[in-house]
Amino acid sequence: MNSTTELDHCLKCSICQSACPVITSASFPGPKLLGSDALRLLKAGADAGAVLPAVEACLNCKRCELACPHGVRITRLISDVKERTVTAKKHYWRDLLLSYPGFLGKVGTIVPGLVNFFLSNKIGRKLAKKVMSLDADAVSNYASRPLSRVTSSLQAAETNRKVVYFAGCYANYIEPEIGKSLVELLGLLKIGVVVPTEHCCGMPLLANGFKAQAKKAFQKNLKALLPYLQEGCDILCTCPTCALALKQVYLEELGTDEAEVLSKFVYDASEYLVNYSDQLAGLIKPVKLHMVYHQPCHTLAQGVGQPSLTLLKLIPELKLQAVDGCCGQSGTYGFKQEKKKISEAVGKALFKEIEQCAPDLVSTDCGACTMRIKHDCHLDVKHPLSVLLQSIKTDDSLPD
Amino acid sequence: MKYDVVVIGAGLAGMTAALKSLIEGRRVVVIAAGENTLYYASGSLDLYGGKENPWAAVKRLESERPDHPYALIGTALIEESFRFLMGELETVCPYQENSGENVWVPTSLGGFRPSYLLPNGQFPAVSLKKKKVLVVGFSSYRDFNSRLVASGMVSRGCEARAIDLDLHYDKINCNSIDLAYYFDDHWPDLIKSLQETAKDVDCLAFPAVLGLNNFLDIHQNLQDALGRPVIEIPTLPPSVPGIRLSRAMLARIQQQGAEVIKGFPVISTRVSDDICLGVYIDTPGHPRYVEGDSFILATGGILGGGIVVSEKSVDEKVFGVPVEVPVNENQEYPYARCGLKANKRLQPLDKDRKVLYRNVFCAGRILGGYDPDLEHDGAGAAIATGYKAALEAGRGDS
Amino acid sequence: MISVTIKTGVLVIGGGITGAGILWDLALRGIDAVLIEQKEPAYGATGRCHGLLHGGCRYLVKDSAVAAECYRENKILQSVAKGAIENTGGYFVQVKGDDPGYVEQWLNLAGKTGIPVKEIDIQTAIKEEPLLAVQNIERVFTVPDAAVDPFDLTLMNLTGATQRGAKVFTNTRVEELIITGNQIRGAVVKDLASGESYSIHADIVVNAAGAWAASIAAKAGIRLNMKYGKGTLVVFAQRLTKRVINRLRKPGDGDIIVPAKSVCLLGTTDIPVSSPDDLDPTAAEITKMLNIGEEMFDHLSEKRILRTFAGIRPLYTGDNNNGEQNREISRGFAVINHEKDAVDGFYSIVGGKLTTYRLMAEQLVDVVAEKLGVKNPCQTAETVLPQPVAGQVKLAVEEPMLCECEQVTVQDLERACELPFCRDLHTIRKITRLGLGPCQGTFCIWRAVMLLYENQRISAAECRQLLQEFLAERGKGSCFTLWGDQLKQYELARGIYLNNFQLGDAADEI
Ligand SMILES: Cc1cc2nc3c(=O)[nH]c(=O)nc-3n(C[C@H](O)[C@H](O)[C@H](O)COP(=O)(O)OP(=O)(O)OC[C@H]3O[C@@H](n4cnc5c(N)ncnc54)[C@H](O)[C@@H]3O)c2cc1C
Ligand SMILES: Cc1cc2nc3c(=O)[nH]c(=O)nc-3n(C[C@H](O)[C@H](O)[C@H](O)COP(=O)(O)OP(=O)(O)OC[C@H]3O[C@@H](n4cnc5c(N)ncnc54)[C@H](O)[C@@H]3O)c2cc1C
Ligand code: SF4
Ligand code: SF4
Repeated sequence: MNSTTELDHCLKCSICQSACPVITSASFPGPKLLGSDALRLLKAGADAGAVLPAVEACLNCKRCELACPHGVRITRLISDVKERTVTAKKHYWRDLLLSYPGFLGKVGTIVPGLVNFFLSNKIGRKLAKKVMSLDADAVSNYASRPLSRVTSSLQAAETNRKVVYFAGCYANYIEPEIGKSLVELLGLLKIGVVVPTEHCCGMPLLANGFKAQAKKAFQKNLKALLPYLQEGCDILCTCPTCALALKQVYLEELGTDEAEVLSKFVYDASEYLVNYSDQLAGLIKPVKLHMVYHQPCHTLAQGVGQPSLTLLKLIPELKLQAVDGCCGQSGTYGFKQEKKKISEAVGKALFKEIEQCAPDLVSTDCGACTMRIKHDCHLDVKHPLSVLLQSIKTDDSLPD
Repeated sequence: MKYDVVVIGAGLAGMTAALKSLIEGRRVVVIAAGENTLYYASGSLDLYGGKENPWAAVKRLESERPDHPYALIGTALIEESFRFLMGELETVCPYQENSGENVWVPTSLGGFRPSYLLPNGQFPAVSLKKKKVLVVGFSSYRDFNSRLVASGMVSRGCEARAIDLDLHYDKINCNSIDLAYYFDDHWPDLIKSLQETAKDVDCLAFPAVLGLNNFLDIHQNLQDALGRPVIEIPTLPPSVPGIRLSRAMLARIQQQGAEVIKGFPVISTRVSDDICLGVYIDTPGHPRYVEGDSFILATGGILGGGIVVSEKSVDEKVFGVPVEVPVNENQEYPYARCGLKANKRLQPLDKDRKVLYRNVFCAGRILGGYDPDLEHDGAGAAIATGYKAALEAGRGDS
Repeated sequence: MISVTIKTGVLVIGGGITGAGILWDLALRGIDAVLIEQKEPAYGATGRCHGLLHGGCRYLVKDSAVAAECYRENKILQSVAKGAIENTGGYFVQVKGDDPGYVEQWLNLAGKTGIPVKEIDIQTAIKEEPLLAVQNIERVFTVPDAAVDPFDLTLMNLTGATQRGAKVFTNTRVEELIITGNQIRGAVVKDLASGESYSIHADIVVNAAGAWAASIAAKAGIRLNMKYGKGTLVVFAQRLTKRVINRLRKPGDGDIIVPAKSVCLLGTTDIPVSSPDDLDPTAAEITKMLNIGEEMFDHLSEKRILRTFAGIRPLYTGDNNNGEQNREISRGFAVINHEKDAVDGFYSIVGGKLTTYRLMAEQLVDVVAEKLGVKNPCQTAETVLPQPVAGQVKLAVEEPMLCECEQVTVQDLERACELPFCRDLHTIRKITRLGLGPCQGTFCIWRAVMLLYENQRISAAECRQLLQEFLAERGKGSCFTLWGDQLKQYELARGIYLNNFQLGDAADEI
């Protein structure tokens, strides 16, 4: 199905609007207008400039799509609109740079001291603010050793089967612990792991309107993953955005047979591990902690239910509460100066809910949510798989 | 994962069915392509018709219109289903009835429409006659004209006046949803602006936009502070009262432990003879398979998505149940009463009136034989058949 | 009972493009004139046409003189009526099975006539127009076709004329012609809103009533021989092509797509009917057109259809008794001086195309001016028409909005209401495009009605009545294409207005 067909399905009923976390922002006309209305008129020659700042305010959270009863893939239409407005962007170069977190990550991990110094230093922060319109306070530290260097030494010896781990930028450059946890968990289940050379999944490019560049990234990854697909390997993602990209967005945007094959082999890591609940339950020890689980928008958008929550529920004595809502970070969106207000307004309700629970620890699957919740709630945030592994490895509660 | 009851569709019918099943202690999953028709409806729940007593009318239908869903359910069970739903909603989104009679609720067009169960915000309409009413509009909200509503009320014997408030709201184009979110935070401003004017009137009428998350408190607080009944008048969709009801029901369902998968349609089924084993959901990547003992098909009518009309055919796409398009005396709209045929257990029937699947039960607008838009029986049929479907699903395929 | 009397030089009957063009030409030459239209401007064939500003290529083989005339007029209009025209360019596409002999003949005549036609490779064409059915395409040529908004064009002519003193009365029907002896004196007209009749005295009366021309002539006891052909058009919900796309073969049914701002139109058919009011498309016609369209365009019948409508092409078959006396100015249309029928000062203009309306008006007004002794030459080829209200497709999310599909702002509506000949919702919709997008007015008609009420242009009772008419008309426009997304859209509108707003019955008393 292409976006022409999508456009036709919209009944202009505005149901989608009720689900959009940005809708309370005065300058945001909502998913219907930015999606089906704008694209239809742009195709007929309307001037794209009129929707530019507004369309950039979309978080790409996909909540509108889940609400729409008429099957309109709204964010796909919005990404077409973004593509048509991209050259008029005010922060073109900054957005392009931010859309390559892999690149930033590489620089950051090779010269972590420098990047972290730059951002933690007063002048550096000012520069970031002024030149890049970045909210330096929110930008997190980059890890000093990328995951790919860590895991290459970590392939399980005795294996029953092999899966591919598509780590994504966050696990690669910022929190390699997530990747290590997955590899170890799979090791316990006697499943071997390969970590191929990968590039950023390309979703940040798409979300920022750089569609042509995004499609190049999609192609590159597809090429890198193809040999494993031919071997029949499943592909696991710990990042919900990567998973959604490989499952859905590559196919929508490229429309190739390869992309279709790929989509069928991709799993959210927890979605995959839930099938081994019985085995895992046998290994897990009680953890006396109060934890809040936050389901990221892009896990919701995969329609896999709440597999991470199911896994966490395996941990005896863990007091679990689930919260619902968008955190407002959306990749690098929350770092941008001009988006700061919207981003904070979106996350407010969620953060309040989390704080009211007063947990010891928060768990969520998404890196962007992690950074945001850490920053705004001043709580420790861990990936569900890290929590799971810890519960297997320790006798007492998690170290902090 | 295997469930006792798999509910397909999360509209009024599907959610009533899910709630009843949960209360009966079943393991329930609710699968929905998206939101539902309540997002368009007025939020007041119709039973039947206009001036005639609705219960008398329902009784009459039982014999006169054997194809009407009410005729499949029977008056006693319809009453039971209404009581059930009112009970379930009591704390989250309360509904009231007017001693078995229809209430005429004001519309945004300055007229009145008959309905049966009313949310708190609409219930004060019961005693509107001959009252002094202040109709409050908002100058930036172009979907609602307070003068038009007031003039309609005057022509029906009220002493109505109109007033428009200037909100300090910087959204240039706002609809009901925008305003409802706005009032979630800013409702106290209303008290300040209206305290004086309210003294001269018996009640106040607003467009139904007074809050989405906080609406119960807002309504109560406004009535208390202004010392007058406050009426909310349903607006052009999206319908805030409808969204409140839909969200309240969904929250209740989740609270009772059902799994809810929303945003993805059911695309196909696995069956063995006349038994359905499971359904496939169109989730990204790979379809998700859900198994169950019983299935409730509540995917709505043409608008809801349950019935798909193409240039060449009219289909129910999940189970492939044949759709009846009755020849309509009223040529205005040929599909007004189209829908599935079911037996008294709400099992779907094929062309020869034989049961197609023994463990599938149909509920809501997907059933044929009625036209909610002209007859005012949409919600009633959804609630009654949803409730009945849950009972039958509980009994299984015996 | 005839109360008021208006006096004027020329009375023009018919507010289609021909009448409007004549009024503009008269106004530019300083001739006092009044135009009478029974419904709203462009109610007839003008508002029901395909909106193709012919580059001429369609007529090359049939009549290359007409083709050349179209090409010339096309270029003139592109300079004076910019506001109504989108210079899309066009393709002529030869589909598998189409007669290659025709293509050769066509190419040859294009060269002779001087209409610029260029062959392009199929890959380029498909890239530009992905809707083309790649497997069926043989050859593609670019041609100088363009898209014209017939409402805008008519309204621009009327606005220009009224700015120069001409008067326009819409919703007013010519009931009788006033003739004394051999001389026309004017007409008796009826204001259909108030029901009042009055007379208009004029030295000259021009019958530009399009397909209704015969009935006007009949009021003077004159018989005009006309035949009527019904043409049906299908409106798709979005712009499926960038440019006009024609089938390169002997013109037939369903072989052109013309973009029209945010939508596009597939057409058309030609079915003989007996009266100009026989305006209903049939389901069979639509199916047939979609099937033919599918030969050139991929999956065309799966695309959402907003509505269908039909227009009548009048064909003047000449005067059987005295054919020689017809002053046949062009083979495409005819200007008839009814002096020959013993009515002096009465002229009819029949036939033609939207594309050639300016030329038609010029030739008619030349005759009228000569009769009146006015020497001023025609200026319509040089004088730029005023801008339309709606204009090109826009996005205006930061302005107060009524119709989101077509981005019609509050201000657009208010500007339309200020126009002297804008008397009803139909005209407002044509001027602004309010409610002509995918939701077909489901939401914006409500908002427009609320605003008209707020501005005290209509009463509470009229609010209800306008909405009822709107819903009934909606039902009519889509009754032959009630399927898919548009059926859902209809059901939504029906639910809102019949269920929520209780629009259907009057039993809403307490
Ligand atoms: C504009 C309008 C106003 C109305 N106003 C009123 C009113 O004021 N009072 C009143 O009593 N009645 C009113 N009605 C009628 C009433 O709202 C409906 O009859 C009733 O809500 C139907 O409920 P339902 O649960 O059967 O269907 P729906 O509410 O349509 O729900 C269908 C559900 O099924 C889902 N679905 C569809 N296909 C699939 C699939 N393949 N897989 C999974 N899920 C699927 C949809 O996403 C949706 O969640 C109104 C109707 C309309 C259209
Ligand atoms: C289906 C179709 C497609 C076409 N496509 C194209 C195209 O793509 N390009 C092109 O160039 N041409 C096209 N044409 C031709 C073009 O539409 C017509 O040539 C042109 O619009 C004729 O305009 P008109 O003003 O002469 O007639 P009309 O537009 O019919 O105007 C006559 C007016 O007279 C009014 N009237 C009638 N009786 C009375 C009365 N008693 N009192 C007052 N008013 C009265 C009517 O209401 C009407 O508005 C098409 C025609 C049809 C039918
Ligand atoms: S995208 Fe979907 S929910 Fe939003 S207006 Fe269109 S049909 Fe309605
Ligand atoms: S993706 Fe999220 S932020 Fe963007 S329009 Fe949809 S709901 Fe709003």
